[in-house]
Amino acid sequence: MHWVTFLLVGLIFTSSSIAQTVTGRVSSSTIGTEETVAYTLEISNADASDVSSLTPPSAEGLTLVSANPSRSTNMSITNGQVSRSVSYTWHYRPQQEGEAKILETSVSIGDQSFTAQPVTITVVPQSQRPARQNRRRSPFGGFSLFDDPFTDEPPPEVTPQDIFIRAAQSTGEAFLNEQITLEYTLYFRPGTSPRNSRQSDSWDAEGFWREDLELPENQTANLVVENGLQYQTVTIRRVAVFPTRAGELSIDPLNIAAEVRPPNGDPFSSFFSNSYTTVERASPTINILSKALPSGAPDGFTGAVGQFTLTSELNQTELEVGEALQLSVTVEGSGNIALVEAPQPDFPGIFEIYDPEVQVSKTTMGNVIGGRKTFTWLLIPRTNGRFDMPPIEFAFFDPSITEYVVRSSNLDPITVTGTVSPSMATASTASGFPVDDIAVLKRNPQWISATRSPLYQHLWFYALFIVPLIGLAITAIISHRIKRIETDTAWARNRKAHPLARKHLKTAKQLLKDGDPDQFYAALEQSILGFLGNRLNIFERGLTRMQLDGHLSEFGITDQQRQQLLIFLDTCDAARFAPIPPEKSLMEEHLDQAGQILSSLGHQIDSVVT
Amino acid sequence: MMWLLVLGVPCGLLQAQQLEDALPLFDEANQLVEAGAYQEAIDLYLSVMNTGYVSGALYHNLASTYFRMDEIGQAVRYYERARRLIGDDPQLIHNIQIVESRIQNPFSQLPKPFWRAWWDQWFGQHHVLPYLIAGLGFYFMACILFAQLLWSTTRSAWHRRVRRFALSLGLALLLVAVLISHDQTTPKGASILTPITIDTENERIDVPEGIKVTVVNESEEDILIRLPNGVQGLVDPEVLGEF
Repeated sequence: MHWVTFLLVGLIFTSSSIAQTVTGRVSSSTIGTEETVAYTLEISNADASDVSSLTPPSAEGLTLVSANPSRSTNMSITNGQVSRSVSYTWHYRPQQEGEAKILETSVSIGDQSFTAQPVTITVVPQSQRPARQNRRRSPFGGFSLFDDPFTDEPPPEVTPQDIFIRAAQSTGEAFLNEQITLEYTLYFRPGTSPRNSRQSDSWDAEGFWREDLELPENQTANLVVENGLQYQTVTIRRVAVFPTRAGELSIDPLNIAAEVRPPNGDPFSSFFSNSYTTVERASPTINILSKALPSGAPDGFTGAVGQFTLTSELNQTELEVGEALQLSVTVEGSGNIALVEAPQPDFPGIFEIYDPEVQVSKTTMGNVIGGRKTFTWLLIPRTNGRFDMPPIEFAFFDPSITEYVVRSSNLDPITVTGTVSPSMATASTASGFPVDDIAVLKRNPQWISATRSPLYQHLWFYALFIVPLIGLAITAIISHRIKRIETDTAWARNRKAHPLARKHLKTAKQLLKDGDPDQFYAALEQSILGFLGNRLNIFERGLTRMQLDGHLSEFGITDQQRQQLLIFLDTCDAARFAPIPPEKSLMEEHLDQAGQILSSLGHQIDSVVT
Repeated sequence: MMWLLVLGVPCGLLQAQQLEDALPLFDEANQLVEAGAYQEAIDLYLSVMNTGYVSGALYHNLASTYFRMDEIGQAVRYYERARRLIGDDPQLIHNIQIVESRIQNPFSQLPKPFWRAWWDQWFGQHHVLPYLIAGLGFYFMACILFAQLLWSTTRSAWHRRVRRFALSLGLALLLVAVLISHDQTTPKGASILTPITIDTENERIDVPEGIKVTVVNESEEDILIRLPNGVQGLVDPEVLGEF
């Protein structure tokens, strides 16, 4: 141990106008059952003469060793500012293992009263304490002025309370792709003087896109009191992370290794000590709830989250076919600009479009990541005309208002003049068509009706089917009749009975007009006998009246009809051979009678045959 | 006979007049396309269709003009109509390939039934008239042979085989003609004219412009369509272009 003394000369105290603060701290928050703990009440910006009504703080589980505190004063000059403080230290001895507490205490400075917060101390069995606490103590208490510098005792250990990392996050839950700022701060006890600190292990934030934020140069340590212990703090890393998936996400601890001097409560000995030891410390794991973006995303939304503006610009609005047109679209604002995707304008099809060129510049405003991303398209018109350019739209989610926002930027119409020159024509395929483009026009149309319907809805289609079938059916019928006529004599004679009878009657009628009674009655007789011969399939020539009567009787012709027929035939014979021809009126009566007989016999024979 | 003349002559004259109207409009529309006046050209092409006559070239040029206007859905619609009339035209095939390459189709295509694939391969691009004429020819020949059979008293195996062959072939060709005519005159499907989102039971599906879908059922308010991957959903009739 080295001790030096120094004098401060010629300092002018001007502290009366500066506000006082009162802080209570302990030498260690964990002590063994055989150790003592020192409680220091530090009053800043005050002299001992200003302090009144100072009493030892009350304690639970601790016994005050001496009611008279040791007093020390301190004065420092930082950046021309003079500060001074007075400290009072009491020592307490633990009564038993467990939690002990030094209660809050009040002190009066002038006419003002200040209160120091209570401090909790953990008392553990002495065997659990490091060896340094078991070493032989100087009879002068906490001072080590008379310690043997060549002792073989092991150096004191650095506890997790002496140096640790604390991680802070800007928020515990965020939307997908929303920025969260993480800050890792190293806490170390005065006197530990960490040096050569470095990250000892890889650090990952799976499920996040991350961007490191710059730390200020020439960072100075801040003094803070944590749970009654005084610490110095330094920010060692600051990171902006953006969740890339929804759900519960964890960020690995940040591990660092540093060389530190074990704290022994004596700033002078610590300052001149060279006994550095390497310690490793890890920050706590950070848990973040990543929320999915709400439904109802507008068209064209590709996942951008933040606050952005949109601008667009055409380098010209009048150009010739084949000339390049440049469209620049710039998205600017706060958010993860690296993940912003190009808008998808619905360009007119006349343009040959090339993939956009992308330029990104990131900026940090405080702890907020942002920047500008410019997409530049090259468009080449293939044909002339005036074309309306589509509005450029960019959609993003604004977490500050939890709404989707669509920025829009309008473009002026484009006028393309000129025509495609042969040299500008695109390459052709083997078939002569342009590569990667359509061949626009076809000539020589072959016109057809616009109201075409399938074949089965046309009547003519069925007619073409049916007409041959009908012809075939007629052919079959005719063929059948001809064959029957050739083979079935009775049927053939029966078929022609009526026509022949009608023919003979017609002849008879003509003969009546001609005044030929002989042939007239021959025709009448022929019509009746021929009819009966054909219908009954008998040979009527040379048939006697008796034979005829017999055949008629076989076919069920009634006696009355037979008598009528025979009488009529006799009448005809008589008239044919009479010397005086009958009157014309009588002949007409006989003609009618012949018709009636034929009709009557026809019906009778039909009824018998069927 | 007179009534045929009375009705037929005016009809023939009317058709000739309609064709005379269609051709100049078609040529004028082509000139507008070459001048870059696409919207005016489309209006003229549509007026040609109103004359009552269409052609594969008309549908083709109309589709190309819509493509130039970047209306991919309409381009698909009219190229598909042209495919029915001039399906084997190399220029049409080339253009359809170009248009389909511009469509961001997220759907996997379900395989066609084997009979459909076979039909499309062998008959899908053919015209109905050759099949109709050949079919009727063989059919009439079979009828004549049957008629001869009725008159003739002799029977021969050769005659029977020829008769049956002619009848079978004739009926088969006529059936093919009927199927081709049905295929070419019945709407096959529709193209999506504007990008839409379909709500199904399990998910929301974004359907890009130009995707070809099958119409399953129609009503006045909406149409049930089937996407290429087999998923079905209801859409507004206005977003479909039937072909």
